[in-house]
Amino acid sequence: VRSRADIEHWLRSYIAEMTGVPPERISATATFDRLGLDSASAVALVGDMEDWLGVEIDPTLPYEHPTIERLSTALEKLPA
Amino acid sequence: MVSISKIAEPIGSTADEMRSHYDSGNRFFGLWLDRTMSYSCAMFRDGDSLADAQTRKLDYHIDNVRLFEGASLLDVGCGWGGVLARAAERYPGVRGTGITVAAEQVDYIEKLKIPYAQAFQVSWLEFQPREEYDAIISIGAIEHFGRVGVSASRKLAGYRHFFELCHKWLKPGGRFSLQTVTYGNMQASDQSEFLNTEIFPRSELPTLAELSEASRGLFEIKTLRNDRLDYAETNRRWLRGLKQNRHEAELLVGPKKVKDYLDYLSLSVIGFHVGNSDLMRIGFDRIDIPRYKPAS
Repeated sequence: VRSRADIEHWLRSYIAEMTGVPPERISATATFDRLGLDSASAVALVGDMEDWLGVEIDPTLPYEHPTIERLSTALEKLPA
Repeated sequence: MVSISKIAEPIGSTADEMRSHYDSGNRFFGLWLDRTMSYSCAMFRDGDSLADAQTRKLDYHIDNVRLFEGASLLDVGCGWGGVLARAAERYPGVRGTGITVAAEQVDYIEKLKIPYAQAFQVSWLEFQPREEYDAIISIGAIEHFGRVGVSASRKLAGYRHFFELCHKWLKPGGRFSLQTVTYGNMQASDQSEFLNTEIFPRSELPTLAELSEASRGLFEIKTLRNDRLDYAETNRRWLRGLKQNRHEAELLVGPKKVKDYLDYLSLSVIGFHVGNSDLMRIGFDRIDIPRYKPAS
């Protein structure tokens, strides 16, 4: 089981790698849209997140919870 | 005089391009579609399985055209025969004709042995009906009649040609039920290159305005529903089914293709969820004495 902090760290690193922005400069409260993610990157993120967490994640979850902070909270609550 | 079909021919995706999508193998699609093999948006109520919701969708269109026993029915883009089978089940003696560009679908339908039904491998542009029909149903076909890069006026002319043919193929008083994806809150240029090249080669979606203008004077719009959230849910169920059968699917079509489909289904869930794309179900009545002629 991953903690909220683990998930937030994973997301920050993932988006840093995707966008080339250093992790410490990525805001946990900025929307994914503002961080430069489009629907294709959201799909890739969800797929990699599923592999990492071992749970099924709805592709719309990053749209319903569109910041690192909110998505981490939502993912922490997903049943394993 | 140049025949209309010659003008319209290059507008849509070619039959070859559509075959490349739908000939991917009955068994592959069978892994994640429901037992009616419906490959289009279902109609959900609480507690529905995918098969329940697909049957509800088929019934919606069958009710929309007010089918009756012994009626003649044309299904344009008949897929794996879901409409023909359901129509024959509900109204014995219905004479169903289905057209599709995919040979595998025709073979599949022949094996279903649906009473009085037949399927032909032919494009709508080439189709020569042997009779006039009481009703036409077309689900998920017109979204392939547009082609990326074609001018707005030619695109509209292509849709107009389709409605003219449907008008001609129907008896006076005939009815037509259409289901299609349309552009919603997005620009055509936002459509992903991936979808346009890997999944539906060079297809371009219609807008609701284009369908309205293209059918004007030929058909009266009686009912109109935008059920985009039903399509988000349909894609979600397909995605789940394909994930559950991923290994078997990879053996059938290879890992690259399975990955492409998982991405495409995920993108579709998002697109319909946020409203980039809409899902229209439109019921038309044939206008028997057309008085409106579009400016050419």
